[in-house]
Amino acid sequence: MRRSEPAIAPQMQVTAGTLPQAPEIAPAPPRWSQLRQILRQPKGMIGLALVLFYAVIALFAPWIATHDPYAQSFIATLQPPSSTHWFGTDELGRDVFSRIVTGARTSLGIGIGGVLVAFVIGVPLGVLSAWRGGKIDFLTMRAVDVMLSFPDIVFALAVVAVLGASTQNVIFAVGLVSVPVFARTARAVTLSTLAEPYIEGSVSLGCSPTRVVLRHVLPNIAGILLTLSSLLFASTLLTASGLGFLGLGTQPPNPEWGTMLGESRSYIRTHPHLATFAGLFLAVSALAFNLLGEALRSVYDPSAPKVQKRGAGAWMNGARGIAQRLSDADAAASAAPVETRNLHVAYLTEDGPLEVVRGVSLRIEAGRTLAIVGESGSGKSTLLRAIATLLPQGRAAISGGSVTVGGQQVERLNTRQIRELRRQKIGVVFQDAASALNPVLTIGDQIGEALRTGSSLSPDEIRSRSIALLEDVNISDPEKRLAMYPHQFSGGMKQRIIIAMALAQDPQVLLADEPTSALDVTIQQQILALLRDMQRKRGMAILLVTHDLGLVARYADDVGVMYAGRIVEAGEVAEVFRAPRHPYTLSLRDSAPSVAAARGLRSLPAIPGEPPNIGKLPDGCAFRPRCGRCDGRSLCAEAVPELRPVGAQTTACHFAEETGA
Amino acid sequence: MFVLNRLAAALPTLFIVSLLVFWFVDLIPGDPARILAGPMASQDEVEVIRDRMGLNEPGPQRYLHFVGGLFDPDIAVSLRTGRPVATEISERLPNTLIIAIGGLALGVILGTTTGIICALRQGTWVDTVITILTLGGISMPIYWLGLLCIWLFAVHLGWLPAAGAESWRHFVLPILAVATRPAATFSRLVTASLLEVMGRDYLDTARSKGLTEAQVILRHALRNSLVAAVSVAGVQFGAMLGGSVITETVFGIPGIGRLLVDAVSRADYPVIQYSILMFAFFFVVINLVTDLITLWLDPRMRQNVRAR
Amino acid sequence: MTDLTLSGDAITARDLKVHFPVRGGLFSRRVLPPVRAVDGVSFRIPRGSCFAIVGESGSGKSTLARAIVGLLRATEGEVVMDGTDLAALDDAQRRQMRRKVQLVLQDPHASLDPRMTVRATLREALIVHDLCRDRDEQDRRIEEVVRQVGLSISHLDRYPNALSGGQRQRVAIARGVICKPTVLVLDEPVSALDVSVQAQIINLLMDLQKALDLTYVIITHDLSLVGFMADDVGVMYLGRFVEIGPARQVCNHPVHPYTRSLLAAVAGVDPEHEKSRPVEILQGSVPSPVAMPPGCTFHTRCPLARDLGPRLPPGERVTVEGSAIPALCAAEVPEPRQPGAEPVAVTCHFAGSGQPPETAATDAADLQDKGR
Repeated sequence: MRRSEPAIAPQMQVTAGTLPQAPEIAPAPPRWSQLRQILRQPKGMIGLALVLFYAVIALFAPWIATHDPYAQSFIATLQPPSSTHWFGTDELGRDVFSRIVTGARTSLGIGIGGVLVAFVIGVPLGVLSAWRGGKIDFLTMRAVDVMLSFPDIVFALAVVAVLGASTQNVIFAVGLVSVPVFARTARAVTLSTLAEPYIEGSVSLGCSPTRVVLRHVLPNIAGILLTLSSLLFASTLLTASGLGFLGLGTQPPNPEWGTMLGESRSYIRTHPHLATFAGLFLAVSALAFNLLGEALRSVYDPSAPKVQKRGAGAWMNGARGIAQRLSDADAAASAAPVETRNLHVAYLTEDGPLEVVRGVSLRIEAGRTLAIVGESGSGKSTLLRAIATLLPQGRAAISGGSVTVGGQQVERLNTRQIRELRRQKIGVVFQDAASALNPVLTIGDQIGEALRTGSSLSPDEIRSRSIALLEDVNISDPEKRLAMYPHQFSGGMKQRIIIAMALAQDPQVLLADEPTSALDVTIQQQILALLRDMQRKRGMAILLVTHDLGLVARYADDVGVMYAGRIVEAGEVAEVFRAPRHPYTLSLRDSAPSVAAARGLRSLPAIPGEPPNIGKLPDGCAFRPRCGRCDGRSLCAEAVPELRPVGAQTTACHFAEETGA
Repeated sequence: MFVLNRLAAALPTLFIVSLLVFWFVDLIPGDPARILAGPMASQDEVEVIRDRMGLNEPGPQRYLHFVGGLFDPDIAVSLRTGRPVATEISERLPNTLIIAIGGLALGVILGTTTGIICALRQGTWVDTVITILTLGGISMPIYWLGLLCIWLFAVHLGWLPAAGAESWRHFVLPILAVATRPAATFSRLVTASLLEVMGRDYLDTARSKGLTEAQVILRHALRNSLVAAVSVAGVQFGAMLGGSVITETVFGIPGIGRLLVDAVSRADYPVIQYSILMFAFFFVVINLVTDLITLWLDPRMRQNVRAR
Repeated sequence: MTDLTLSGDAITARDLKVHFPVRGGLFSRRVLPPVRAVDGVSFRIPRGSCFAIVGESGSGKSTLARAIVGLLRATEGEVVMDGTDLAALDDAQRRQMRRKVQLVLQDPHASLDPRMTVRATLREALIVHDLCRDRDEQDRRIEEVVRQVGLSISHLDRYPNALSGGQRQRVAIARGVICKPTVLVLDEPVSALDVSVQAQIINLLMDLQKALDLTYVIITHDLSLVGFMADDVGVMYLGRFVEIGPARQVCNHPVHPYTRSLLAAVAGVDPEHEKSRPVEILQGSVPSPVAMPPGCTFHTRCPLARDLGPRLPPGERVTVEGSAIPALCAAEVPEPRQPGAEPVAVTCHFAGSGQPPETAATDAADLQDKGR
């Protein structure tokens, strides 16, 4: 009766988006580890155990059965469970236990047969129609539509009506019913796999279409299809037994759980045990395959919700306690719009808390722009979210130090005060404007909401203020735009709307997380110039998180260079970029192609190695393994360098003075 | 414009569906005219009946004859009772619809509520309990659950009647029973799509406006996750109509499902034909309606439709 | 590899067009015009050189790259590779041809099959083109290439998700060069990588080009990369080259107003210079390729046209989006022409003919001068 495709295939996208992820521990995908992944989940373990249990029953039924399942005995009808007849006897005096055990063969056999029929017809159809497209696709999908116009048990009934009631026909009927589900899912996952760049890679390599399907598409959709098979097995079993229950499936005297349930119906008032055992076996077997399917799904389907580790809350509360104590120590309120002191932020991972921001102290004055520069994994986005009070709840928390925004120390505020702080003092601009706007609400709704929250403006005032905001961010025709939805705007326009919303309550600080990385170069300049103009008009502080040194040079006043969760160099942009003292800053600046081209170099002065894995940092200075200056000196490995004034800026390098002239 | 497009897409489907149902008669073993006439009838009598049923006409005309049966009660007659199929169906339709609509409403309310709770309380014991219950819900054979309900509430406790459709009390158990599956499915779906939406930046945008967590969930998260849920609601409604063949058998309710099952076991093919057509018609209409609701919920779909 | 010693062009394209049909709705009878992703592009790439195609999203640069590789068929015009017209080949022959032209994609996270080890990925290329006699020879070739791209043998049996971004891109490059192609098409080869890793990959690419005598086609939006790596560059806007010529000349002395705006957007790392300099920011965004503006497609955003428009007599100007621009721009499609002595072709009615280009916009030129 379950016509819904388990909602896996159609939305096969990884949804993590731009949320800072706790660094993932890279797993190896091959065979055995997949089984381990299934067994690691409780549902996978229970599901698999039950499936094996049923398989054993079905395979060894003749040896397990205590009586002849067909032997009638009119002196022992409708007996309750006893030591001779564990599950009692039925209306003809047959042993219910033996009938159930023997029935496992039929019931599970129908399930296997049905899924097999559906798989063998549906999957090739789906893959073919995704691969060939055009007419084949159109006709297949039309046929699927037509088949889906019948409720599936009705469809199965019709098939049985034509072919007659028997076990084989039931297999065929329930198989046929599931064909559209397989075809649709196979088509959807094939389409999304075909859209993957690695398929284009193999095609451009010169692979033939057959090879692409066999070697690249099928292995990558196999997991999803396996998942679907398991889930469909459960529903096929239920549909088939439903037919049996109606007397249209396996015919008596052959035992089958649905048929047995149907027979027990007349005795429900007097002998409920007849229905109990057959129903229990049926329900638990469906549960087993559903559990297994769920476990498979969380392994194979990237869009499946991931298992959340228990105990997160407890740890987070503990972390908050630490933060409280630490911040009490240096509680002097700050007048600057933003100030952090020795801020630590940690993610909760399977192996315990993982510090991503490891002691950052910074301060932004009103009317100035501080740029935080760093690579992926440097902790720069997490830092911004901590200041924005938007750390993902239950997954990350401030584990030490303090954040002060607009003179208020964030950790000391209650929920309501944090809301007020967010509303009045903080504006946030995210990297991906497309996902930062709610797709189902109009622009007017969303800007209006920013104005309305916590204020008592009339609808007319809200409208006129919204229009004024859109004009501020240079959007033409603002009256007309209010009624439009986000998808009707280009990327640059969406980012302008986000900025308008961030500015709605005249914040003291604007936090911008890579606000232009997703945009075209000419649009980038438009957006940053707009932010600069807004800052000049309103005098707010801006925190700009970016990886682009050029943008920092052009638009920021101060800069902090982050590496492995710490600021390694900070100061005024002019000073830091003119004479970087930290080897990392120096190499970053000099490895830009424009600088190298200007110096007439034919090879870029690259930094060796890769950005560090935050979970496995080296002792001492985190940059040591990639550093050209360290040269094996023991101090670098022994002590973590602290930020200290060197020249016009502060630098965290033991040998900052060695910077070449 | 979109409505027209969708209608235009639904009409050929309906047409093909009706063709299939029509041809389906030819697949049934045995001679319908002979069945209707009864084993005692002479060959001439069978021929007369065959003629009256239009079985001698060429294919296209027989199809028109079949479609005509939808509008003219005299053309399609039950082989078993001799009454017009239209009467048989219209007498039973209300019972089926009451159970399906009631079950869906109850299921959606239960499912959405538990789904939201589950998403907001990830990793707690509430989440675990609901997850176990929903998994049980989708694994439960409704005929067994029905029997258990009858045994408990009708036989053991004696609170409600076990079978029939005379008063509202007769509908309580069937509605409870059929609501389990949509409730479980809906709960899981709402949880999954809420969790997916929870990671989106626009929730943080909303939080940074100073909205309360409840406002963030209700205004921003839920509506987006409902988009996926609505289409499933449609599918579930259809499935419940189909499930009526079993529910009505279990609870002894005279509805279309029961009618169809009886017709199949007695080879009463006009009844089979028209009741299957009825189911298909409902299914297509429901899909149309859910498409329209999705469209209303998600403005992006409107544009896709236009671009197509 | 005797053909490598021949001089001449690795690739030539003549009036290449790639159009995509647009399907109308069920009830709309009107025939929609196709999307003209690439709309009349000609160029020649000498063997062993590096040609860069620069543009923003929607410019058609990725479509052009795929037409060069043979993944998309040209609607009109021709692509000639080593003297063979791609359009004249059937599917099997095209697959053969692909050995010579390899594509390296932008995102190394997505461009490798997650279910294949590095070794299997590399071996596939050898199997497909039947380049090695036996498994041993395959392994020898695989190990040779892996070392060439700066990875070690120990990486061979890993799956892509056990590699870092830079390592994956090295694998993608190894897959590109393992069957000894003559041309490598690089689609934004470093833009998905971390800044500190980008330089490594750029160096690797330049070393490989020298060592393997490769011809490069680089698709990018980053003009600073072009100035560093490319010999020639074509700047694309809505499916056409607006400026094409030697990279040094185009980057140092851009003529077309679009090229100049793109260069202005490239910010150097000298804060004093960046902050003191007035930056001319291009307004608006790229129009939809479904509704291309008439005349010169750039006229809706062109700063030069807005500059010239008001100076013209009323009869010779029109008003577009609130600004006066020359009527010619909105009416007539400009033809490529060579404004100066350098072999640079510019597709603009006015650029380079009237006033000399102002030096303010030539950012890279300043840097170049300072560097010397």
